[in-house]
Amino acid sequence: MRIEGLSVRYGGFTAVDDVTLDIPDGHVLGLVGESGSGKSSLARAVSGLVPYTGRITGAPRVQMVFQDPYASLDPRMTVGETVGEGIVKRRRATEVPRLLGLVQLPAELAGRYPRELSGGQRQRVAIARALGGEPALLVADEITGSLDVSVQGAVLNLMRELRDELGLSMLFISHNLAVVRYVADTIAVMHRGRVVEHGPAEQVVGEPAHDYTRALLAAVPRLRG
Amino acid sequence: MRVDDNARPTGQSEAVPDEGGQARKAASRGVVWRSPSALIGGVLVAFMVVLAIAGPLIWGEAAERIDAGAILQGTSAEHPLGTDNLGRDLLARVLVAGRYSLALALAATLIGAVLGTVLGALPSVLPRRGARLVTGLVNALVAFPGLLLAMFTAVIAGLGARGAVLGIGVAIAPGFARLTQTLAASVAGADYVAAARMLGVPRRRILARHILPNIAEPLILTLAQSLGGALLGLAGMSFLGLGVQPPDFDWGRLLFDGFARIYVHPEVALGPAALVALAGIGFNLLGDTLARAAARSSAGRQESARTEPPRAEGEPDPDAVLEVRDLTVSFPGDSTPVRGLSLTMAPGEIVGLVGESGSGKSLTAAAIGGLVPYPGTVTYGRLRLGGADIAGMSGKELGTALAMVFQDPMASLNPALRVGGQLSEVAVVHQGMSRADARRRAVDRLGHVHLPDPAKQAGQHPHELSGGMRQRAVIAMGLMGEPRLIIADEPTTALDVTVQRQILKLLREVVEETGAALLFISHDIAVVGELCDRVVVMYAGRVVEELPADRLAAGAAHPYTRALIASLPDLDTDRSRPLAGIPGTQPAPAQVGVGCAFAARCALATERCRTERPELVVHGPHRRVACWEVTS
Repeated sequence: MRIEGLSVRYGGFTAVDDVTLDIPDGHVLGLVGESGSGKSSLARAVSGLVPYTGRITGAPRVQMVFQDPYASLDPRMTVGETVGEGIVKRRRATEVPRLLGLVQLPAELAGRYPRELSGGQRQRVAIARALGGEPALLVADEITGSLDVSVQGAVLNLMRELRDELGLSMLFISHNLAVVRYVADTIAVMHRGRVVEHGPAEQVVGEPAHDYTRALLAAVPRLRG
Repeated sequence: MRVDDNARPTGQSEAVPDEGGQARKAASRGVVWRSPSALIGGVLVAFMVVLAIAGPLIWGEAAERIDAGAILQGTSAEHPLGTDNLGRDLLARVLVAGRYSLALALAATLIGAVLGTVLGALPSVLPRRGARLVTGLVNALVAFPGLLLAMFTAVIAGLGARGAVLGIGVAIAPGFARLTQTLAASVAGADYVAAARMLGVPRRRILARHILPNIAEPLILTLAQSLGGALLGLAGMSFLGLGVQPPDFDWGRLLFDGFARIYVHPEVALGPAALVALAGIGFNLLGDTLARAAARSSAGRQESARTEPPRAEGEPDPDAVLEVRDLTVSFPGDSTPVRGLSLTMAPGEIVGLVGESGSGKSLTAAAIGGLVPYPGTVTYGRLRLGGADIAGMSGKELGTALAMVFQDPMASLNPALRVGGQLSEVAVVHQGMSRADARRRAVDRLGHVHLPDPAKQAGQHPHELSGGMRQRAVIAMGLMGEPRLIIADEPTTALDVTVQRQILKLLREVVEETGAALLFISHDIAVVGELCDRVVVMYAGRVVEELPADRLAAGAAHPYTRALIASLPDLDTDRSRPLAGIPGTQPAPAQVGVGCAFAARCALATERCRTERPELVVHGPHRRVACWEVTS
């Protein structure tokens, strides 16, 4: 899939400014930047949720997983109804348990409501719903941002397993470079609507070329000693 | 944020565990239903329902009995409300008219609600141009006077009950349409609607499955209130002669007939008028009560009870800024999110309190600041701030000695007021400063937290500042007095790493300069390790480990602490191997068992861990840990 000359404007404000990126099949592109850098707008444009100019080619089906698992599930629908939303009726009964299995949730959870689940479980449900749309590209926008550290690790592991098992292409967005580095094959750094650096993950982290990337790296919290 | 009796901050993240929250909601619901207005409303509505069912059965005959000998009489023993021009008893007629009046009102409300909901929901289904047209129509209708709309429709639809019901229904519809539209617009922006759109769910199914169920509650509440309005409106129509025509009669018609005689026999008009008023009041009160019961925070804040404080042994530590002994916070339903926590902080010390959501860390902070929401109960053996018991401190003293910073700076700042004004108010209220002095200090403090051009920023509203700038303003607010202790509850969680770094630097500067102690609460052990001198790890309401922050990476002893550290990816994590996670979940505050709360998730756990709880014991210099496997 290829994003070419993509721009997103809200009135007079340009959130994403002429961005060109390639995401080969089965490849995870990590997108980092501070809030306001345009990374979420880019994600929403790729997902078809905001109008944009430019061209997106080679991604017929895009699904997205959102940051806040407390806001992204309809509180009045059961897990099974949510996961089955994008699936034709006759296949729902077999597909929902399979999708729940893919995200390592027990099939019994299908009858529960989101309020009965923990944050990590909800995020898995949101991932299962996105997988139900059989995406060629999965957009993950800060999906561990509102999870506890202990749960974050498990969700990151899951994303990597899904990539390996399903050959899923991914646009993985986070403001934390350590998280992106762990999941992504290549990393694009966004600053004020533009991509300022793009390269293999280890190279961007190990030999940052841009001052802004260095600033981001310095800001990653680290344990002393 | 200053702790202040007038402005208790409410923006506490994850402060109340689910169980406590539900108990609180249930309790507040009970309170709502016991209030006088709810009782009056309930009794009135029940009376109206009984009247509508039983009225015509009991008095139906009396209401139609013509008595040529008793025409147009006033009050008498036989006819308490007098008689009409055919000698029929007016009291019986008023009681019988209840059913018809209420039925018409119900019909009118339903017509209005259905019409309004459809009109209001259409814009979410129609293509853009059609949606605009409908929105414009609703706007125009809302601006049109309701009674005129009702009369207009009634005249077109024809004189009589049908016209009046249609008229009132049409008059109610624009209000419903506007409400539906506003509610639908807010739900339409939700992430789950975006997700459904991406999955290719058609618009009308999104409307039926996602939008309508999520806005039904407020619509139904409005329905109850509209019923009162419709009743009054219909009575008004009948009174104007546009409504019910003889030989039928409703309250409005009886009022219309009686009005001509009001100077001679006022009682003949007062009867129906009183019932119209009572029914209107009843439905409005019921609607109010439903709305209040549905609202999340309805109970308001009440002093949390402090019962039977366990006595702390030994003398208070004279040098400690904060001394907490055996702090317990519990909620009805056996939910105890904080269990016997003890903590001592020295001046200038930065202590990190770390744990997962629901570990009780935020409630610990809330308990120190006296902010535990109703119906939480706080008990402690000792709770001293700056050498004085917190229980004995006035709101003013606590307000200057303690500063609190929360995760969401917007929740601590009033969006309607300028930043400078909010800061100076603190000094005016707590320190008795003059407005001009307070203003100068506010600008000075804003400069202190490195807000560029503080004099200009002081004149701005919170929404004009970025997230990081807002958090700086909140910290500046805490520095208006001379705080001995600053409690920062997840102050950087909503910020991105670059801004987080700046805020952490600022907090350290503030501590070095003022000598205040800082209690820094976070779920992110890396942030805590970077900023703090000492780390306190909480799990399921208890402290499980205490250690110097620079020992975190290499010297953490408790399996939980070690697992937290291991699950954190950093820039050197091996990408070829899965991240270490912690299997299972933390037990809810009501389900913590007898043994070690972490036993079920712990690789080292033995039978003893499941049956016997390890105490927090000294484990090397400046270190304490609660774990059988480590200490024995």
